[in-house]
Amino acid sequence: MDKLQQQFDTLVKAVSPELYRYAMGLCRNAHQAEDLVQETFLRAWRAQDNLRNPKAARAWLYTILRNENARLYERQRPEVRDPDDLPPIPCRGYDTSPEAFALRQALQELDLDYREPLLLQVIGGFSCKEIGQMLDLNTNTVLTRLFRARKALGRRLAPQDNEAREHS
Amino acid sequence: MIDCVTFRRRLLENPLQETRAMARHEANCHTCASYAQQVRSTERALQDMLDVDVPPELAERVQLAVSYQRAPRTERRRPLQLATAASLLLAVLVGTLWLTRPQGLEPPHQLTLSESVFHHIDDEIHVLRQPGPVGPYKVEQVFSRFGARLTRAIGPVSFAAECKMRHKTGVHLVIPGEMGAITVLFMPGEMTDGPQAIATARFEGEILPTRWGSIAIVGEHGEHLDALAGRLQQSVDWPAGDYGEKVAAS
Repeated sequence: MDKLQQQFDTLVKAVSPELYRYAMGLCRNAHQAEDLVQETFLRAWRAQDNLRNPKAARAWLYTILRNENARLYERQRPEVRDPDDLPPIPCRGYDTSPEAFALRQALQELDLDYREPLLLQVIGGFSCKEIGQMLDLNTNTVLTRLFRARKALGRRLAPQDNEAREHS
Repeated sequence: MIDCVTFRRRLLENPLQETRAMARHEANCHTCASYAQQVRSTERALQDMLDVDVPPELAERVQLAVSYQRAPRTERRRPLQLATAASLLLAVLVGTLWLTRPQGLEPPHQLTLSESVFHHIDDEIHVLRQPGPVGPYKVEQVFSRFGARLTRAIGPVSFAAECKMRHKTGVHLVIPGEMGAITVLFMPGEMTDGPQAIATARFEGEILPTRWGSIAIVGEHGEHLDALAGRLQQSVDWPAGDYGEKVAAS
């Protein structure tokens, strides 16, 4: 096994879990999410010259997955899906409380322009500068979108409560 | 010291990052401190929600799919056109023999299991050239129609469908091999006494008995099928019993 292959296998083991979570955040479908992860690594292997810099590889994989999701699934679906139609996401200690349900619903209703940077920050832990490079946005726009994404989440989760706080 | 608007903007940009200026503001502004507590609580809930369980052996399945892409492709021994022409010739020959047979003298020929396996491969020879890979969930879906399930990854699959076998429907898979594509037929109800080696001029393989029927594994000559056979027998949990007749999909 050559060095590049070893590096690639290490990368698959290290990054596939978080890529799967990112894919789930984008498409909320376990089947599609796994296919997206597989397709991402297949494409990455075909363009393996870009893997010489392991530091940049992680962000690059996220970008491939995002593009694949847009190419394969995003155009086939309506922009907003009814959360009642969505399959439950299996997660650790799956929370069935009304608050957790509201949060899932709020995240899903969030426009993709806001959801993407939020997912990259929360799941990938990327800085705003890195997110900007991945989404082809300047850093200030990323900051604005993150701010608006969380504000929208908060508003949808507790509209009356937030309103009261904002007016106080 | 920063004002409330700046504090809240920075907080919502990244609730887990707190600068000294933010900490000072939070310590002195009761309303913002309460707001920050709520935002951080939502952030933790968001993190928990996104921390979904990853399917077992996801990385292994990805590595297998990539390893298939790494493997040098072997030239097929015969082009598709030749195989198709051979199938057509065989069909014409069989048709002619059937039409010119002495009427009422012999019962119709009942295909043996091995003959039916090779006929099936010939009839669907085009699926050997499917580029694949088929996603693992699509494969599982095909098996699930029979109440069967995969207990572990079976590796890259380039074709998966429910197919009409000799008497009942079963599962038809094509799996990439070293010498070319490998055909695997899961044939419920086709009981055999023991393993049976089968071969034609082009293909060779075996039919393996199971408690619910049999599995045919057929590749090009020279293909090593033992490891795959073992893996498939261990990976597929197929319930014993009567499955009825299903409509063939391929």
